[in-house]
Amino acid sequence: MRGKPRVTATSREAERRGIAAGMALAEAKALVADLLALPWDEERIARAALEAVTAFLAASPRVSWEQRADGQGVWWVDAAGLGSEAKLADRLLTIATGLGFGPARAGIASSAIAAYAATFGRTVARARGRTGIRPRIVPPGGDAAYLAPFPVTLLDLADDLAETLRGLGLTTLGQLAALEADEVDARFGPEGLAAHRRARGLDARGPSTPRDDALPAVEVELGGPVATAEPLLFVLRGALATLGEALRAKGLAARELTLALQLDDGSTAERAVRPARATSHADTLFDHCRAALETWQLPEPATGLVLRAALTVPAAGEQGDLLAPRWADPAALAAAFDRIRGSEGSDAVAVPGARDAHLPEDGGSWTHGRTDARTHRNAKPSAAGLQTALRLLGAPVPVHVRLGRDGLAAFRHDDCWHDVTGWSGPERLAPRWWLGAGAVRDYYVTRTADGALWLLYRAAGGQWFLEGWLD
Amino acid sequence: MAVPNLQLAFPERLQRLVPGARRGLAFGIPALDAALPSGVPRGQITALSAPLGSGGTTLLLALAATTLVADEGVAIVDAERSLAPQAAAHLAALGPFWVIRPRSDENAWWCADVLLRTGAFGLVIVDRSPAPPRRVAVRLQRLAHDKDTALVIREASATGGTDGRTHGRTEMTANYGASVRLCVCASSSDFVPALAGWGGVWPAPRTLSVTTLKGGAPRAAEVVVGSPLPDRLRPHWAVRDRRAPQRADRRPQRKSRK
Repeated sequence: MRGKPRVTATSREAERRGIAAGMALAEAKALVADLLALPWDEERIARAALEAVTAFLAASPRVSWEQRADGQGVWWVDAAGLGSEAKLADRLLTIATGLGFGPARAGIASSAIAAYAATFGRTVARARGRTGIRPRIVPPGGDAAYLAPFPVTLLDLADDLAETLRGLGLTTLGQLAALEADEVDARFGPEGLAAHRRARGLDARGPSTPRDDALPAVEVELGGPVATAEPLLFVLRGALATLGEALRAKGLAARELTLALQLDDGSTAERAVRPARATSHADTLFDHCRAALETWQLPEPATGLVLRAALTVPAAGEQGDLLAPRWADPAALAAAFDRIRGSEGSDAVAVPGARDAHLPEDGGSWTHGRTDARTHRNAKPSAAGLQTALRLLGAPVPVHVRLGRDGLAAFRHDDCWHDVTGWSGPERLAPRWWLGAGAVRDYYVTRTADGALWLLYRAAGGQWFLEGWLD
Repeated sequence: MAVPNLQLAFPERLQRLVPGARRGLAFGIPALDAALPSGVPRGQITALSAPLGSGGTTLLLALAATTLVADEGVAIVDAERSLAPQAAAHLAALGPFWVIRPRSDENAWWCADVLLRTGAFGLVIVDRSPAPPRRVAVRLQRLAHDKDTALVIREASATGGTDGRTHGRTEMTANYGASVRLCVCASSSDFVPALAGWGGVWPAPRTLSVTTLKGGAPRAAEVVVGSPLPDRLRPHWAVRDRRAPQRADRRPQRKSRK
């Protein structure tokens, strides 16, 4: 029973007592007083269909299931290269009967529509007076001819198209197939053209290899409201291990995960976790998820956790070098850097580069890219042996300077005075002339009593600044 | 069929695979490597006591360069965020080299922890950070041991002012289980004419004295370090140097008071 109160399918006993599909429920109950009518259960039917697919796989490696608009189920089974087609049909019918699918029918042909029509073959043969023949097997190349006497309703057309064809007097597939494809396309559109192709025995449907396309997911109940990160991380590690195994079993690597937390008030908070590289390693995914959790302010305690692989790619193995001193998993390295960036800021991971500029503060730059976005610009190893390295304060710091008879005598920095024992300069730098006279600086390299070399400059206004030191 | 003698074919790379035959990391400075024959040990903590301006950064960058040449990754945690990029730019061309610049120096140990866990680095340097708590040091030492990574900690020691005060951080006296401890001090350098025919002066090369305080027989090595002359001061063969000689009486002037 489905939608309107009409009979959709019957048992053998009901059929024997005169109940047929399409009959009104009231009429059926009038025929059989003790009729047991069950509602149409899609989920139950899908389960039964899957069970049948599994059983049919014992007979053929390629099986698929399709449910027609009238509620009937059709299994497409690949019969190529499996020996006797008649024996295969008998075996499939035996399996279907054993599963309780009765009365089941089988037909074999080169196209799906002809095979489906062949399941009605006996009935059609009787109508044409050729009893005693079981035309369940359509010979190769004979699909169009075999389909010709069948009614157009075999195509499971939409109501308006079926009505139109009937109005034009096109009642059989042979009449439809006899039309020109261009005319059908012009008059009935793509749907009519598809029906025309099927009427000619050209059908793209067919059996396929069963696939489990569902992406792995793990769901964990926390047992009670959790307001701190530690229990969540503990559960998360185990869930990621399970998810990683499921991904590896499918030969996949996660490009994006969805981390969903079920909250105490019944709502769900979700966050996408995107590793820099697709991976199925639980430790790497854990680092990314932990970084996401550390910056996640939850309005309510969490009661459950769901991890889903939202986006996957085929796993690509990377071979390490046997003789390399160490081999780093790029995904693990990227995860570590992402974690540091998440905690310390996007500029926390940097690769140094040099620039051709006069001002010390402009002489280099940091590149804050991904792990593979490295810069080697103007990088040149020193050819003159060991050279003192320059260190720069984040911004030049104003300092007090004491001038003596011979020039610089001392400067005060961090609340203590440093005696200057030698200095070189001034070296006037004015690289940014467009900023005006204020940009001019007189640089001095000063040596203090402890031997340290400091970089000071005097701005145009006479203010002294400490910019860095040589270390 | 005779087994090919792989040891003859790849002696150096094969030797790296034998733990007992592996030497520690080298500075690439003959005098210093001779004073520290076993090198900077892998899987251990090495402490470098180098006051501000004493040349500690120079030694650390030399160690990083040698490690990178040996095909191992290097990460420097610049706790003070004061390393000039141009000073370390040449290292980026040698191999996998990253500088971690945390928001504050207290987070440097957490960054070192994350880096060590990856196992991707042969050398991790924590430069000028406060002393690690004992429990943190133990964890880092275990991580370094598990990942066979050399962890070098440059102590943030104080620099004394001439008025008796000190600036910078207090002396790091905590014992955090370093297996090797080095001390660096620099000699005072003179200012000499940097270029012939130019009156300007520039700091002359100075000598760093590196002493092994722990991790072997007490030895001292002297390393000569030059001060890089900026490119802007170098003459070009095609351009005439028009700079006037520096006058001896030219000195910073007092700011006039009105």
